[in-house]
Amino acid sequence: MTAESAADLSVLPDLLARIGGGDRRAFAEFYDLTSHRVYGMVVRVLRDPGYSEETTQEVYLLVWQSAASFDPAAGSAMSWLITLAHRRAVDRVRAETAAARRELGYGAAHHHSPFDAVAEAAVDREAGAAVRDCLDSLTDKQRESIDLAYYRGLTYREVAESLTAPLPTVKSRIRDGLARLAECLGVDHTGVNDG
Amino acid sequence: MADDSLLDVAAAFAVDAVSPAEREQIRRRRSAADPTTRAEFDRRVRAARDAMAAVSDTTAIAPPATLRDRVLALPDMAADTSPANDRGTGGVRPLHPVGTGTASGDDGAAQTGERAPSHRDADESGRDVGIPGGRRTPRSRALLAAAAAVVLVAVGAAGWVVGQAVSRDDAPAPATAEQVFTARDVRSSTTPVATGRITVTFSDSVGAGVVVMNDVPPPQPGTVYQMWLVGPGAPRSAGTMSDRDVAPSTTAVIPGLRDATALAFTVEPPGGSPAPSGAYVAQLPLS
Repeated sequence: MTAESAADLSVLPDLLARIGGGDRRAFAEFYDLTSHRVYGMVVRVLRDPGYSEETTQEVYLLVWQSAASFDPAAGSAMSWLITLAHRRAVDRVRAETAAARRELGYGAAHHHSPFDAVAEAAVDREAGAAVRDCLDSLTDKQRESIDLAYYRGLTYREVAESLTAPLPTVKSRIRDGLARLAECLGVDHTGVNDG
Repeated sequence: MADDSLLDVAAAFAVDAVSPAEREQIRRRRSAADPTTRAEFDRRVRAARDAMAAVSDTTAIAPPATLRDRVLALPDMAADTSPANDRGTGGVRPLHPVGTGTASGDDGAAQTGERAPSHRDADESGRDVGIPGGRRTPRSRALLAAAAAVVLVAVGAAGWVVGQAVSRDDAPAPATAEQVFTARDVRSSTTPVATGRITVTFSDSVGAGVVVMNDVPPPQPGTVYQMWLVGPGAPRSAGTMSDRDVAPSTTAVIPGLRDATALAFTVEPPGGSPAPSGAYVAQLPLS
């Protein structure tokens, strides 16, 4: 999979505007530029190809339906898309695992960190190098908490239970880890002060 | 008043690491917060989401080519009756039987990904964690494809005659249809009719169904098709459609299924009838 250049991604807002106007060609282009990111993330969360395909399909249905509501001023197109897709995937994984989680406690002991997998997968991907470096700049604890939340679909309360760590601690790890990641990636949107 | 605890959960909120109830609560607190806090909250949410969007580059996987075909077919499937560029000009005509007010809003916030959570049952059958392969039937995948088309058509199909006037800009149809198709208990039933086919996709938890008619011949001039929710009591009308309404592909959202056990169709005089006046010409089980 080749990495898309920044130039490629810069067309996304325009494509969304055209999709909002019913342009199917733009829809196809948008899919081609983004589907590997959506699908890959969804697979991480759902860990099942069939479910992941379904969810990805749902995501693009939402794209088709709600592209017109995308506001470039409020964030990047990729962020809009991945946010939408992640929400979808998390809804799905929570539904799928609800019963089992109640029974098993969903212990972290059996947990292989997708963030580790992220790092592994990123090794041979030059495009991911910068992101990987930033992931590496997090503490292990931060990575672990974000990983459980983001790729397991756990709430931060569940992350705390799962790690038998205090709630405020977990909240801080997620908060600080994501802040650090954003800063490292240059997407922290400061300019205002950072509290 | 500064709300530090609100800012504390901005990141968790941004990456969906909160329960649906807490998400609502956070949204309310954000709305009530002072402008400075709100701006800082938004900044943190945006930063966290941008960061994870960047991370998605490292987890990218090419999806199967067949998925591309299915996704790109979604608009095409609706093209006959619903040119997408007519969206917003065609009348959305969801059916609203008397006494069911099921407008579900909250879809205006797609930008932040804050959609109304879809209905999910507390998983009734004790499923395995994580590896659910094989439990999902091919039917449900096909269904999803149909679902996609349905929702699209629902936006633009000028079809069903509605008993009660429904403004098109309150747009309950896509929201309800989407809820149905993403419900854990989504099911469907289908029946051939003359040269075409009628499919109803429904969910008990959502309490609504979505009817799709493909290539169904229109009713004879001077008559309409009327849909009925058949259950323990008398059949309840679920709307009518005239010969002008029956496009090659027609879609309607039917809220208020309640205890209905079947969806049936009759031929009626224009305007419909208070009760079925003849035999059902088609009937689809809802159980």
